[in-house]
Amino acid sequence: MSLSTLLSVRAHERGRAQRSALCCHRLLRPDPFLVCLFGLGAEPFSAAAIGWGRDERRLEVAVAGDPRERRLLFPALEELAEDFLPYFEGPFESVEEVTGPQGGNRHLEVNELPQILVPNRETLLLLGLIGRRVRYLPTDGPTPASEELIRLGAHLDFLRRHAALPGQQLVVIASDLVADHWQTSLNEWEALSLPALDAFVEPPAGVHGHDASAEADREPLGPRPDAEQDKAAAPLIKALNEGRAKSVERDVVEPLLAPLERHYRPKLERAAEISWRSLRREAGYPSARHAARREQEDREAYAWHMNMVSEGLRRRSRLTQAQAIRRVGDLERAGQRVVAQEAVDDPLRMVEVLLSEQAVLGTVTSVDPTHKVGRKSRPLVEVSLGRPTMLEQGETVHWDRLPDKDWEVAAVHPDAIELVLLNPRAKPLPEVDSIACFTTLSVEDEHFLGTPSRTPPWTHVGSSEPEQPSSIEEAEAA
Amino acid sequence: MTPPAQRQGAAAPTVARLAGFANHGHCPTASLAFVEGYDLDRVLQGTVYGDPFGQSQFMFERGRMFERLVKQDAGDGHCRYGPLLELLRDRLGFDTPEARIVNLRQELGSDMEARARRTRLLLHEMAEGREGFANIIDGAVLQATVAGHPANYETDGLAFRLGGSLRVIEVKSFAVVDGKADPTALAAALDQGALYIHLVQLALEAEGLDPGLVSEDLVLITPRNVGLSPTLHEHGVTARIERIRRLLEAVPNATPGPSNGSGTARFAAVTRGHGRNAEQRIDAALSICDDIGNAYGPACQGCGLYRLCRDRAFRLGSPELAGERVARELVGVASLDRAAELARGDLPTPMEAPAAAALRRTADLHEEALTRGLP
Repeated sequence: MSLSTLLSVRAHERGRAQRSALCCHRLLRPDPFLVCLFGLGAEPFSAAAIGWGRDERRLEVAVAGDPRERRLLFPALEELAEDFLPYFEGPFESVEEVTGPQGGNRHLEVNELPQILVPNRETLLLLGLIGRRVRYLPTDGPTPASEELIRLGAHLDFLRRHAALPGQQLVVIASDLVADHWQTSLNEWEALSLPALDAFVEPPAGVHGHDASAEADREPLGPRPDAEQDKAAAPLIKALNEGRAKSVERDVVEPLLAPLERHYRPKLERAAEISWRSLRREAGYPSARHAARREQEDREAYAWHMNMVSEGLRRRSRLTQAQAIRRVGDLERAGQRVVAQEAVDDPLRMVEVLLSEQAVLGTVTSVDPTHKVGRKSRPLVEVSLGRPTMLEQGETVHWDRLPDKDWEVAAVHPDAIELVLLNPRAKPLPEVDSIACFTTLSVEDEHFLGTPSRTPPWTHVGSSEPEQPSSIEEAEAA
Repeated sequence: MTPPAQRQGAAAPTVARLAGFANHGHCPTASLAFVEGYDLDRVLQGTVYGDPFGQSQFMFERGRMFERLVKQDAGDGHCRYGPLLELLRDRLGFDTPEARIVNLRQELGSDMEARARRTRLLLHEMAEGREGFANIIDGAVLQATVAGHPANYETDGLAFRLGGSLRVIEVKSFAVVDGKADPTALAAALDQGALYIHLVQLALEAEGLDPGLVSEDLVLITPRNVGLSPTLHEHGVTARIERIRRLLEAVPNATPGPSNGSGTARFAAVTRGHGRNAEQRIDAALSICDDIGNAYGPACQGCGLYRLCRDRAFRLGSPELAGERVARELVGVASLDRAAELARGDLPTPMEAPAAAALRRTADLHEEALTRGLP
């Protein structure tokens, strides 16, 4: 049994989503940069309309006209770049080179970080594909791309990749944010929809969350439109194409864009409104202890990326086998660390860990701060569990109140456990009669030691020559 | 029996419908609709449960444009197949200087019977490697009896002979970037290709030829990157063919359905017409689900009855409503409402006991977590 199942049962019974966290496990900035999109059919590298802004009362909108024509699409992207680049690149102006603790590696650090808000994962994927499309465009030749467009592409591509890192906070995906903090009786697939989730969390008075979410989910939020939405857009695009008579000049095209903007603006505004509402709702909860600590990785990744872009270096578009293996390992370790951090930060998150027998919870029955093992000081606590545990003698565990300190299981009794503290100076100690929780999950980074052999197996050998990323734009389209 | 295509609300069988059904073959209601030739995407149109039907015209246009490009179709029905032959030569070693390509759409138009006969003949020649056999068939029509209905299946793809085997090609317009494609679109294309291969195998078998002549490696042609330049990939689809074969074998033949009258009459009552209002049509659909059962779950999202079955699962409090994990963890418990009672401490039946104990413990830990509060 999982807590999520119990909460799904209660969400169904009570007609509202149930909170699955006591705090907010993401560090949310007060004014992130929101981007939402609407595409055309399943066109994979373009956006028919883009909405953005940092003020929930005002949404900037750019429509491409006919996004299949790159000379119409790129100006719309450049409009986005005009606001996006100063916001995203601003924090890098204060970059400093710092030395790691104990004279460790020198690396770049920034004081501030940008934060990008998108309604759902599909939006981020489409932004990433658009980024992949434009970041390597040639800046010379017959149809040179602007520097701004290329930088926008590089940043979007980076954000799409970085968002795969569990616990990252450079990108906030509103649907994930809601689904991570609330449990509904929607199934796994339905819970990907931001309108459905939002309606289940706050259904209208007297309406069950199930019915509210079904109603809210009727109209797609983007970026992929349904057949009806495209059917309405088709005659507008046709009229624009007839009106511009193949011209791509701004003074010809711009006056023709108004009907398309009228078509897309309300759709984008709906996406923006639900995204902002979701963000504000979660920001009303206290921030989890470790959310701020996780920012460090975002800082390093952001500074590294910005440095690459500012020096004109190209990032590989495909990983070598060795890189892919390391990447998967990094993501898995980050995922485990986030689970541990969220569990020690939040008793509701700890429930799943307790249910999987990776933690114990009980009443502290005795504390001996002077206890010694041999000549070493090893404070001892005894915890009454009221039930057997699967922990074994010698296992290392962590107290959720001081999770970076190590305890060792000294003895296991039928319904109690004795623990000794391995960092004797750590304070405070649990108090007698208090409820204490200890888990085997570690909030610390587990270092990847790499392959032990001098001659690594073929799976871990990188290609000798790094593959140079190239433009994916067709020559004939240029 | 009235042929499906002539019935109100019924739809002619297509490869796409057949491939779509493969995802819902475990559902008795979907199976009955399939057997009776009713298109579930359409039967509830005009009611609150009818979803916007069809594909975005831009998506459709992109597909058509790419197919025309691959086949070098000038728009006058004459295809030269230059890009296709180049890909087959460069990637698969199909090096036939004077490839004989038979375009059945162009030759025989919409006469499906004639195209089916010609397809059989051409496949026969190809399989036997007779002199002058067609190298590529475009617009083949395969006849197969599925669920007791003999039907013509018009294929999107092409078949060609390379060395000792017949190969099947699917042309799809989703892009491959940096060697990666959208996994959902790719899975659907592979399912459709696997079904096509299976139909060719059946056709060969019916002709007394060896079905093993058909390669189970599908040739997939998709655009590479942003533009529409075609690229070719091969994918083994043996497991998918096997799944489709088992599924189609398990579908019962069209026979009078259970309880109140035949399945045909029952689905007819769901469709528009004869003064039926939306409420009556919904009641008719629900009564089919009640009588023969359905199998609501996450895989139902692509089914035309999805919203109806979802609401039915809600009214019944079915654990499947909340997804696979919830259904798995509540085995033995009849409904979500009952699970709530058990979590509060209601006495369980022996069947409910394992889930009830787990629910109680989870509820206790939840309560304790709320009491403890944030550190």
